[in-house]
Amino acid sequence: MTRITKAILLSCLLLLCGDCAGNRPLPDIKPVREENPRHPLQLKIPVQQFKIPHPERLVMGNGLPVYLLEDHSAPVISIILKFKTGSKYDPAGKYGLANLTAAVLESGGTVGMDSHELFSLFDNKKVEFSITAGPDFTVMRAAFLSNYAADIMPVFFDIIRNPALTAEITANEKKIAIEELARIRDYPGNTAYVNFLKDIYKEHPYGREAAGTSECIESISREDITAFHYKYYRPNNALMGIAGDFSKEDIIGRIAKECETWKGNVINPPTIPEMAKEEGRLRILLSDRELQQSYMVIGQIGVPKRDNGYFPLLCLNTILGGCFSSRLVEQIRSEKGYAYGIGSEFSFFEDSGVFYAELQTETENTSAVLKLVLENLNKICVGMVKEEELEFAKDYLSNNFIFQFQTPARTISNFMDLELYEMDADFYDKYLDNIQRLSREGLLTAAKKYFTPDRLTISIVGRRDEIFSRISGVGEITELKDK
Amino acid sequence: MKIKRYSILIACFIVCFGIGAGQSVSAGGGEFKITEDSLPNGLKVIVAENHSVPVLAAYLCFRTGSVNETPGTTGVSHLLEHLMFKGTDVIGTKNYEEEKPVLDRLDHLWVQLDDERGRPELLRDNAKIGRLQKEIEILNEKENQLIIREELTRIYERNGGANLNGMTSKDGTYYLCSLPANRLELWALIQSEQLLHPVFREFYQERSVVLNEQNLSEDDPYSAMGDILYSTAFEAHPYRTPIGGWKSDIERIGKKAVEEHFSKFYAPNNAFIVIVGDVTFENAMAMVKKYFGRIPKGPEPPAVTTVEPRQKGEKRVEADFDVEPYLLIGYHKPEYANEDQTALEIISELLTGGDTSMLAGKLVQEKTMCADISSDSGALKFPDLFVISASVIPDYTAQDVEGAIYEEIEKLKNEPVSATELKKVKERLTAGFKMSFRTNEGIADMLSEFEFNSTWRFVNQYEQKLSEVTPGLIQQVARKYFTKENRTVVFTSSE
Repeated sequence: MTRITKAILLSCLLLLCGDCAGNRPLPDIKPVREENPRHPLQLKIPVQQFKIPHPERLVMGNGLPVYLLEDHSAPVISIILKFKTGSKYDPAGKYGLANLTAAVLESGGTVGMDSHELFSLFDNKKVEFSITAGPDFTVMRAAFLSNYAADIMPVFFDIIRNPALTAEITANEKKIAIEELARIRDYPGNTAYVNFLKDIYKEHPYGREAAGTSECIESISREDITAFHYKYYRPNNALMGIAGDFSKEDIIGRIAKECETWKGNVINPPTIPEMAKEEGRLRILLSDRELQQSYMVIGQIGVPKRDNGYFPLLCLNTILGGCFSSRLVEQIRSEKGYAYGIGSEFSFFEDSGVFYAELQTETENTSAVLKLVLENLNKICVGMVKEEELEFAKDYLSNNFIFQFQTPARTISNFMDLELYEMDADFYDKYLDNIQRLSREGLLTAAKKYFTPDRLTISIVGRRDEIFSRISGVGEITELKDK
Repeated sequence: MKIKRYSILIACFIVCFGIGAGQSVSAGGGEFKITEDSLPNGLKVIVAENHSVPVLAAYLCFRTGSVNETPGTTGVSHLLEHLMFKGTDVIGTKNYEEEKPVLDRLDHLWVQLDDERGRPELLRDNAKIGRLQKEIEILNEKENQLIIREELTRIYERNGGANLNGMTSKDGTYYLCSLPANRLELWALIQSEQLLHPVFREFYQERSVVLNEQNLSEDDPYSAMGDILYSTAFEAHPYRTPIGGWKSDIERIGKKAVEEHFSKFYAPNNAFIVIVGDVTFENAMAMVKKYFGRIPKGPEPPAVTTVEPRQKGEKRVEADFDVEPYLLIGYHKPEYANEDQTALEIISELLTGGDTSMLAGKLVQEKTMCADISSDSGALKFPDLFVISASVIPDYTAQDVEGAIYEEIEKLKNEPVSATELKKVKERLTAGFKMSFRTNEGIADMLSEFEFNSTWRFVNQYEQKLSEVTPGLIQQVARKYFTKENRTVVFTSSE
């Protein structure tokens, strides 16, 4: 019999404060015909209540944790299964194995149901289904109308537990994987980002593309895929989440039945190489391509999401380039008109993170834009942000918070990530307090600790001959072969 | 702030079941109510109540896009869409009375600068250009002291505004924003003030941003090939113009042209609002009346009268891009509100709607000739294209794939689809439609698309239309449109 352990069931009430819409003194507004306010600062926003929906967490007898969130607002069920495996476990010479395994599982059918039969079922019921391997985790998702649960749930498990993994499907998926890899590089922004990651992480797996290389993909055999699947796609190496229009009793019954015969395994993942030490200098990578614009990624290694610096960095990024009302966007886009797409962001791996600014600008403006980005990165490390910038960032992050729970699927995925990334279970309950506690002094300390503007990697794809001389004074340039 | 392209449209939403104004609709587990009303100034308001999370999505939509543009000022709809975020006479300024003469002088100087730069190189007066640039620079500094840069966007963002964006398509211009539900009045105030008292400050910087955006499209070979397909297939109708306009036009568009476009097309009687989320129809309407009711009705905007003449033969373009091989095939087809549209949507689903569809099953799964293949039955207001696009695996040429596509299309013409297969496709489309109920934005996208193409109430008639499509009609429609002389093909070589 399956033993089900009930872990946590939390429910927290949070108030989205009613507020004035802005923070500057009211403008001098001329009397108007009607009584309506003419500036948002004149509005008083009513108070609104919002309760964070907390999923229930159960652990099945085979060790599979399951997050459940019942929500009947739309007639849809979303299932998410996250496996603790990804491209970082690709063996040497087989880069792309995690990605290809996911692709073969996604398309290959099962022992009892060939791929055509499986696709017909999914197509006819309009099931959204995907398996995607990232650097750390592999995520399997399905979304379908709730009245199809009885048809789809067993198949979802069947794909993971009894995949066909045929030689024919493997050969087809290898061809497609090589082609998709080539197409990723048709987009210059992707090339700039790939070159950037490779430079900052060097030989560490985070510096590799999850898709692998075409040579490696060629060398992957059906046996490699079978072994990878056998080792990692196990209930004790996964988290499951189900959200949407179901009855708890019914859905637990279905999962429990599957888990009775789905067994765990001892999983000893390989040791990952140490993270590269940061080079003590600023580096420019230049890739030559005949384009209208220069595509640039400028950044450095950051921190994992569980780091204490998360909230100050989130706030600093908001001020720097994380939203439209930020320094980089206002200076480079609004004031100068240099770029359409400009912004900065943190993205996170399990054991690290990256911080980068990304933009595209006309070739002739490459140097001016680069200078502005570098100036801003330096500035945030030497002086405190303005009081109004901090207040804006706090309001932005607090009022926007509710959208992290806009759909049951998103909510459940967020809570699963807390466990995967080893973050505190009350992360969301304390989120708003953590934002409100931020200070200008604290942000400056964090900026000095985490940002290294003198040791950045600058990756550019564009017209080499016109760019080279314009940026040669900024740092040492390494020219890369394009594509 | 972006260009909406129609390459991957809403084919899966185009199925419906009984939704009527003011009725409660049960969608399996979910339930929401859609209600419509209009203000005396002609502004139509569609409200869908979804009380699952206290947030809302609000779309303000104008029935104008690149289809309403004329040579010389192509791109004006998209540029205006950007400029609408620049504020009003009280939002974005410290003192508009002081700011206005600076803006007027800047416009005067820029007209001269654009004229001078537009002259042939040998006749160009570079000294004059230098003088003008210098004075513009001084005035920009002055303007910087008077404005509150991006105040309008900042107010939205500090109030939790998400998905804040403007979008321009061939037929329409959208202003989108999602907010916590207690911010509905904030949205109504800002949007109505933008229409009543817009100020297009930082005009020339934004024109440059728009040019940068256009360059991005040119650097994206797949997007650029889509533009080539339309400008080749259409000779007379304005759908031939890229949504963002021709670069040389954008470089020279002045503020006057943008203001004219605004006056002609941004009237409440040429617009509609879609609000979806944790609101009641009564409260939403009260707010819309309070703010948008102030805007006077405008003159009827000029109609698009040009009709594309019948294509007289196949058109082919071999595009020279350094990318993986790619293929686009476009067949002329009628406007969305046409009796053949439902059959075309079913054909699109039969061809590429899922891994077992005729084309994806054969060319991606079985023969691995393509990495990906998709089709779009066209959802525009005027006669448009049915487009098939394929990412070709380099072991094959675009022509190999093209031939294989035509083989499947011939089957559609010659062999009736089985009743079982047709039933499955109809069920699939219905399921896809219901799946879009998951987010406020999904519902708002669906309602606004319907409203642009015909009317949002089309959802009421569509299920009936779907049931009327027979295997015979599919054959008939396939024979009518999928002919050699009616198609345009754009491809890259495998070299």
